[in-house]
Amino acid sequence: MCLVVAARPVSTTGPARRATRTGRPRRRGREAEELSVMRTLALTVSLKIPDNEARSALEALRVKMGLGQEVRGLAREEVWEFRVDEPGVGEQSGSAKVGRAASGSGDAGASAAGDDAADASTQVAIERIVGSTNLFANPNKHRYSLAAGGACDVTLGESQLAILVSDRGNAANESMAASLKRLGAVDVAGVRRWTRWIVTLEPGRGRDRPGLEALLQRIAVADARDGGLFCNPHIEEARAILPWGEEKPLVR
Amino acid sequence: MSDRPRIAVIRFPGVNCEDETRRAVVAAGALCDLVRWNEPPSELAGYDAYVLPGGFSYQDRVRAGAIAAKDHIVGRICEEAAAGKPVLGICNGAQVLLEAGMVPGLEPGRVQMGLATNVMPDRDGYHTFWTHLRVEADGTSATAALDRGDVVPIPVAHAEGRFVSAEEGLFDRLSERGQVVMTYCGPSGEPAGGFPRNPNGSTVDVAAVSNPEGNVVAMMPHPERCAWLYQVPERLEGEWGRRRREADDVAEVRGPGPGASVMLSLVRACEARAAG
Repeated sequence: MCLVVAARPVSTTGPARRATRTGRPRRRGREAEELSVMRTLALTVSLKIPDNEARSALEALRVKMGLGQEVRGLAREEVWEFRVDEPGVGEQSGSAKVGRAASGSGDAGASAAGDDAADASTQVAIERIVGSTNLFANPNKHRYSLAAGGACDVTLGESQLAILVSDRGNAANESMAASLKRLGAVDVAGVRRWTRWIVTLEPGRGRDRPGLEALLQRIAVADARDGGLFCNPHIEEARAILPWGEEKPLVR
Repeated sequence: MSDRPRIAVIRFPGVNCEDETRRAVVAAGALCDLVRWNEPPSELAGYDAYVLPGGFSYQDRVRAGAIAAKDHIVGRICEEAAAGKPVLGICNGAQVLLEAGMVPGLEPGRVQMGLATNVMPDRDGYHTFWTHLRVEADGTSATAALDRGDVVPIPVAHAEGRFVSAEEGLFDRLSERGQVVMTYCGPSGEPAGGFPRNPNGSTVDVAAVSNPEGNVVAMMPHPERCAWLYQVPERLEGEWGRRRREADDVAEVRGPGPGASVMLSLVRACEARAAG
């Protein structure tokens, strides 16, 4: 049986805004080609079937933690950040350096021109690995997109915020980097997995900065039994992205 | 009315060790019920102690133990523990106790530790292995029937069992205060010396931690999986392996295993509390 699945980008809803990234070099154009040898690619994976983990977390927020309808929705994405280190980037032809944003629901065939200069050969290799193995995504239940950038690059609606959480010192990241190298993505210098929770708030809540910060305090960091949910500060690192794109470190 | 202590084993959705835990508790001399997580919390008042068993509460969604720690029934267990009732968390139960801030409890309710992913050479993820544990603190809910320095072999089975804390010097303070209950060691009690005897990279080989009063204990190894001698493999190094190899009649093989002493400790802790 031949299953044909249309490749399409991960959809976003509401007025989209581009989050800024801080603390990570983001060089463009000719300067990038001559100077930069380290780039970051982000593979975003989400379920195209109902996400029971997100539903459980939403239930915990609303019922067990008493937030009720303050939190209207919760979505979860897995973001794999690939640190790509390719010596001699500047010596290669410009045509080989065109960044692409690829997405799929199992096949990695479709791609479009992106605005970042990413290492095309490594990106192509990662696309091939993602599309031909079940290491990152199972085509029966996941959709994914691969693009230049990092876990903090996310488009949010005006009543949404994102909470990013990543294990410190998870050996699985090293295993995944080794697997990628073995499968042909030889320039991948490091892998880090993030869980990106996208919290949808009641309408209008996204413009209230003090209110948002208070809400983050209640839901994000599990520093007490009556504290947050998403990040145990002893084992995980966390950041928040506010609706207008500002990045806010929560736990370093 | 029986004078045997009544112990509740809490059944969260996703746990999978509750039945064998209940059997081990009963074998140690207690009455024991399985209590579902969504029973009215007031149901817990009639019990003398509580066990949070191993498994995958809420399928480890968000993080192992994170959602169960927010359950109302855990809030009630916090209150009962504050009144002095014994609480034992095994594996996933230990993760719940840490996420609920019940252990180490230097500042009750505050989360002072985490159980991080295993760190092992050349591998990652879930790991199951027979470990040896040295008793570092007696008199707790998990060691009241043991003596300091005793060595008990108990298996571990987890992916996130590495005790860590971002608080500088926390483990030194816990050691000084007698809150490090058990450490991983060799078959004769010698230091673990890293993997595989310390199976997960846990800080200073910690396998079990208590609150300051010693009535709440979080332990990663599974005592219910070795409550009878027949559960001990003949190839196991040390005293308990020798006992298993030399056991030559059915009654002996069906006798208590090393994990029985942990359940017996829980019963003793209940009896000591009842005696005032």
